[in-house]
Amino acid sequence: MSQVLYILLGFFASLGVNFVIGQLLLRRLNIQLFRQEQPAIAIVLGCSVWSLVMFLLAAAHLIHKGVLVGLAAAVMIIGWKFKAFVLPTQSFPPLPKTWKYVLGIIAAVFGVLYISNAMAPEISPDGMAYHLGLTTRYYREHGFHPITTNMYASLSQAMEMLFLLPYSIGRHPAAAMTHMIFLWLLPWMILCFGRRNGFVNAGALAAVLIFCAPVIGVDGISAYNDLATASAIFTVFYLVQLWKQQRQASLITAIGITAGFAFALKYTAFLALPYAVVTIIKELYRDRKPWFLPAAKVVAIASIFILPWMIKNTLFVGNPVSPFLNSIFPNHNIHIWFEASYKRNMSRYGMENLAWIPVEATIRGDKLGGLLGPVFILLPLGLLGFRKRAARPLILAALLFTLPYPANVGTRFLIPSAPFWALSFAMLLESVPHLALALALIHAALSWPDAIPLYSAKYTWRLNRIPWKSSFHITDDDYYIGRNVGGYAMTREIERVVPMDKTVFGFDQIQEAYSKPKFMVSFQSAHGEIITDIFHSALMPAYLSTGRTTFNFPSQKLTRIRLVQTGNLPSEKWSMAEFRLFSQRSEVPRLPSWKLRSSPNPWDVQMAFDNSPVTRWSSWEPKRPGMFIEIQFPSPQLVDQVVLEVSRDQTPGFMALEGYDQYGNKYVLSNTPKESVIEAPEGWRLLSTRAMMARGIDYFLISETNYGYQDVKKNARYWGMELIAVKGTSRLYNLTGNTP
Amino acid sequence: MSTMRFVLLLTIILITACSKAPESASIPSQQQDIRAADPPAVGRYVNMEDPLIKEYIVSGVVPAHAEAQWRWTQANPTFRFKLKKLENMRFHADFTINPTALTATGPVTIVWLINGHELAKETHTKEGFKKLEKAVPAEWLKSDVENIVSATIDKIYTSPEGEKYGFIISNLGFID
Repeated sequence: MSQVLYILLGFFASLGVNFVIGQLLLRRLNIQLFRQEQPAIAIVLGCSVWSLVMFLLAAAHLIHKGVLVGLAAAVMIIGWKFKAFVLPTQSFPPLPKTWKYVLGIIAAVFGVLYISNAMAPEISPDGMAYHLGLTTRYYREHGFHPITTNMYASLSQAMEMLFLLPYSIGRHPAAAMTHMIFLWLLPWMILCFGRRNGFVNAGALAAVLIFCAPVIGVDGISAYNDLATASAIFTVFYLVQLWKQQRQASLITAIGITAGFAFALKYTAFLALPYAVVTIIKELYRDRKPWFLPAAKVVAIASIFILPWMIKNTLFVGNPVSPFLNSIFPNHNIHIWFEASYKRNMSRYGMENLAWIPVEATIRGDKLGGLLGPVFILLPLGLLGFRKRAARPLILAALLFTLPYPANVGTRFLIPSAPFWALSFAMLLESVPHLALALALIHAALSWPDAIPLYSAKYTWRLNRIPWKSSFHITDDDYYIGRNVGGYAMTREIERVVPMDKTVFGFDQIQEAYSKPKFMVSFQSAHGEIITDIFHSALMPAYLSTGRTTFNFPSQKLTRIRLVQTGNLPSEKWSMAEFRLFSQRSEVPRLPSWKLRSSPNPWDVQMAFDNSPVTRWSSWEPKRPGMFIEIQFPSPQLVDQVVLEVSRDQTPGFMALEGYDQYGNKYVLSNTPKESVIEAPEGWRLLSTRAMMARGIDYFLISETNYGYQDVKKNARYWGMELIAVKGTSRLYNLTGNTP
Repeated sequence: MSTMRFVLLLTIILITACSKAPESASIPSQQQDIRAADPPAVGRYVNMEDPLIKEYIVSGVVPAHAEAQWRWTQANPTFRFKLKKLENMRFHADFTINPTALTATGPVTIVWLINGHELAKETHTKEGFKKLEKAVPAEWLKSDVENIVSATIDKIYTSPEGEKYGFIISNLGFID
């Protein structure tokens, strides 16, 4: 039971600190709000500031429980001293009684569902894998350290910063409950927006639509960031509308803070800033008032919350917006090839026909990771309200914040725009309150866990039930997680048998929030992809470097030799395991004074000169003319043959070999290479393991669905691996590199 | 304005801190040749998705992509296995009688041979997944040399494209 108390303490500490900071900020800015809306806006503002404070502490490696709790206590004392808990007296007109009862009942019933699930051990996929995986790591390591093997560590992480305090007190569920604050806050703000602007029925209906939507519920009670992002975006919108009405200068500051916070929560919320800036400029320009300074102030203030994340990324991974825009900010941590395939996957989720997205996102739910509920399929009807002046800003915001959606068509990526769609649609029913009420009740009923299977696909991400015993931690946490999460047994086994300073490599994510050893996932970084390539290079027929590409030419003294790609093959990377020079049938010994260059991917050029058939230099970009790899000699070198050792996945040809003499003259030595194939020599499995070990991998996790599972299972000793754990269909090996 | 100056300073830090690609690299340490063995080409049991499946197939199996979990046989699929132990071994095979093929051919009889000895002769009148598991006399088996397993199906299905198919094999070999 003490665990429950700590969870609640962590949650209330988080809620209290953010509320107090926001209240003090609102007072300082002298922003006048109604009694009902002020707490919500205060919490969003408080979260913005507190997340920045946490960032600075993490950057200074000051994340310790004592520091966090001490700081939180100081904030609460200051809040108490300056009466931050006092709310304004001015209220909205009372809600109609029917809505009051309906909203109250829905809040109570769904509240039990939500709070009980949030208090239970964290079992959300991304929450366990990286949102809390990274939080626990920052907490353990007392702040930021460069993480170059996990692209998720490069996303903006204001939410992870907000998790730190509750996690330090109540661990994972306290963090999840901090995200749950936004699950309550967002519908509340929607309701307030309706009440403030005179469309109570629409506000109430839209609030119910958002609050009960199945994917919003399960996301909101998890250690995710989508509800926080949606709340920040909606707060920006809310404050901008308020500024349009009041033109109070200090609102500009609040708008800047929340717009910056939106980006800090999630890259896809970056549109909040241009939205605010363009609206302010448009309004002031129309009124012939100076617009530059207010707009610049919004940008400047937002930047205080945005730039820290970009600077962190620049310093740690060489790309301010990693893991994206790698062709503009080339770096060694995320391959351009990966970014392109990641974007392709995220824009389809394996769906053959994207026209089914409305049905998948609202009714079926299995392909896009959740569903919003059948009523949401009606929401685009909100566009019909465009003729109404009051609806226009909502419709424009709905369209604007839907723009990033095609980049990731997961249902939860509709959450940031959902409040605007919900309000736009609900406004159509403002004058027919009974219909609005009926629709709210239908949506709530259809969103209850027992009703969802009536229309959804069998496997969709949603809440299933009220886990009474687990929410009070009466049942064993490990038992609850293990029953709900595939692969958890292996995660715990890794925690048990792998020393903390060792690195495990695997092809699939594990629940890093519950395991301390470093875990490198094959697809989450360039480093992981290289390890995967090394593993496959010993096994996969297409990846074995048994191809030989030979360029013969008259013997020449050269100071530089350059191999240039001449083909344009969008579906193929350029790669080679070895680049060897010969003179009079003998290999020219490689000298330390040679200078090696390649473009693109200069970081890995040594992999083509390390005498290993299982490590290859790859462009990690589609083949295009002009790519090159070259050797510069300290003094003229006699060469008459170049042999490339290549894998069979390389289309032959499309290369020209260029040489430079001591006067700098360039010659095309050959562009008609000969292709041949050799038998793969023995021992490449062991070479592969040793190459992985040389890159810092100590343990190797492979599951039945991963390529090579059968071979490793059967031939572990030939790989130089020792089996140390089997859980279900996953096997954990210790890399020994010993000969069989 | 002080906020703007601060932001300007942060932006300059951001731009100037951008990482640069290395100009050039030197020759790295060279991987030394290692004397290591690969696993024996064949063992005693194989799944069709085994990376070494081609080593097990002698003849009579329709080619499929590398990781296919099952393969069509022709009239007389033949496989090879190596055994270290000969006593108390059982032969195991998982295979499927395809409904389309069965409709076209009618009931089929499959004879399984181990090194030329008839292990089983089964007539299949129904489609679907089948399992054969039967003890193999030790004297039929050989250690260190290949053991040949073959199956013969009496009726062959000819597809509209003219391809000839027997049954679908998923895995087979010796277990103890």
